[in-house]
Amino acid sequence: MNKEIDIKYSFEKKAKVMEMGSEDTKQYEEYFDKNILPEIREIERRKALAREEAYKIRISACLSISKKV
Amino acid sequence: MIVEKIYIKVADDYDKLFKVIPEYYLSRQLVSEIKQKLSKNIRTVLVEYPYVDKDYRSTYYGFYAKRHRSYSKFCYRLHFFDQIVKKYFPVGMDNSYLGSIVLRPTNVASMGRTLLSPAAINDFQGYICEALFENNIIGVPFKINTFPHIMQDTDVTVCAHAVCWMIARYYSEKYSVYPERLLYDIADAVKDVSRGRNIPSRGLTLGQISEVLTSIGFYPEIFVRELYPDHDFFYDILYAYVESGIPLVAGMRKKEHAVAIIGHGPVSLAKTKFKTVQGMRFNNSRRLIDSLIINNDNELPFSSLRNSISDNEKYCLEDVDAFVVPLYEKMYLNAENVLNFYHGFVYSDLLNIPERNYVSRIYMTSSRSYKRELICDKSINIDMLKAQIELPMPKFIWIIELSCYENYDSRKADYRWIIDGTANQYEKYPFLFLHDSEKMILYDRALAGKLYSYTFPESLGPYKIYMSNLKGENL
Repeated sequence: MNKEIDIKYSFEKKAKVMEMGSEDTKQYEEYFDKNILPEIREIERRKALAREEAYKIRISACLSISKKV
Repeated sequence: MIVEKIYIKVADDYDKLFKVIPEYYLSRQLVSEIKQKLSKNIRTVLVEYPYVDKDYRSTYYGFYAKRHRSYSKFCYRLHFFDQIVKKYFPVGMDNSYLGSIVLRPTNVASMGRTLLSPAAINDFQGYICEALFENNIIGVPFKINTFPHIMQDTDVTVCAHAVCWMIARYYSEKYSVYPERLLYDIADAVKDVSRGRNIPSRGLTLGQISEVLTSIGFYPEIFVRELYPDHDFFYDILYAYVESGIPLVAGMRKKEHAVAIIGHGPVSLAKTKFKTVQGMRFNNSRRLIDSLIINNDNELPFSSLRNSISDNEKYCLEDVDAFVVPLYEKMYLNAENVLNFYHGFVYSDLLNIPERNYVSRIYMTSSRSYKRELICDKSINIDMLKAQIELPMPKFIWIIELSCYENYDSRKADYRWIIDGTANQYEKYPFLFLHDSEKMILYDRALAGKLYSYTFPESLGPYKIYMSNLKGENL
């Protein structure tokens, strides 16, 4: 009884299906490969470095003791 | 029980608290801060004693009871009202209740769990993360919408613990998925003690803060400013989480301090601001905000963290050089990725966005809240509304809103794009929904896996921006 229900969206009738990698999306994909992908690699490097740095950054017990709050 | 009722006409009336409360619960310095920072609308303070505060009790049983010097088990609790409370039972005064401050017998840093409404703070203006709390005064329930606050006790907890407690208590009160953690549990949450004993505390590293938050059930991400050649971009990332209504732990290495960033101050008019500051094509909405709202455990809640240092304030945004953001498990795609890739939708032929200057507002929200707001929005095109409601979305979504200056100033957006919060960072098509004035592009990622393009019968106009992540007053 694993029948999947075929869902129809209200916009589907008047919508056009776009193929990824077709002429419709080619320019976007080229832009992504050229401009966005290199930056993603840099972001991933930063994420890993941040985890290493995190154990070197100590937030000490700062209280305005002079204020004797 | 209520041991004293103090009527406030002038700030010096707070000195009457010393007649009831011993100085090891309430220092002169704290009263001076209360006089300066609390709203002049406060008319009555009820003093409750003995009050059993579960957070203080956790540190009492775990630490203070072990000291040679004796400490009381009990706390005082102050309740604030903006009207004169005449009756013994303050029944029917819900609208006048502004919250409470617990006072611990710790001598140093005695301000315990504090639940003060932003309305209790003098001239407060801003938008903050708020949860609904309930206090009971001699059996009468009182509700307060606020973000919780506590002071470090310098024995068991330091500023970083206090900030983790604030964030943990906010989430446990707001969402049942998060457990309540008492103060001692938070201080004892660091399991790797190779760097020294946990208690008495000598401060925490950012990594340990992340461990504490993980132990509570969060999935934290860490950001360190020195890894960003463009420091502005680091603050844009921080701001995207603030705008998402996610409170975060901000670390200040030079000041050796941590604070909770919980919201932002008033929003300037884009048309005026970008007249003086040269606007770019996409101007992050952070540039329209001069201050963030912080809970600094050394002060009463809801202080401002300005972009640059001012006379009366000790800290400014530049002091924040790292932060930890406590995320929900299924928030995979982070703000940095979204800020990086959204330009791609504009600078290719996927969409047709007119060449002019825009304010860009980037934030995360739950698809449930988003759809709940959307369905009530009468300013939005009906085809676009229905398509977004029908489209299956993950629990959390990133949203990019673009508004031209005049529309932003009237809280309207020209374009709003939705990104899958669970998408992989390398995906070319991480979006669910994009649109320009003529068409919308929908990506049914969950079921059909198809990309649809739908042309609107008429060109689209602007619609209301989404504003449910933070709660604001006096704006």
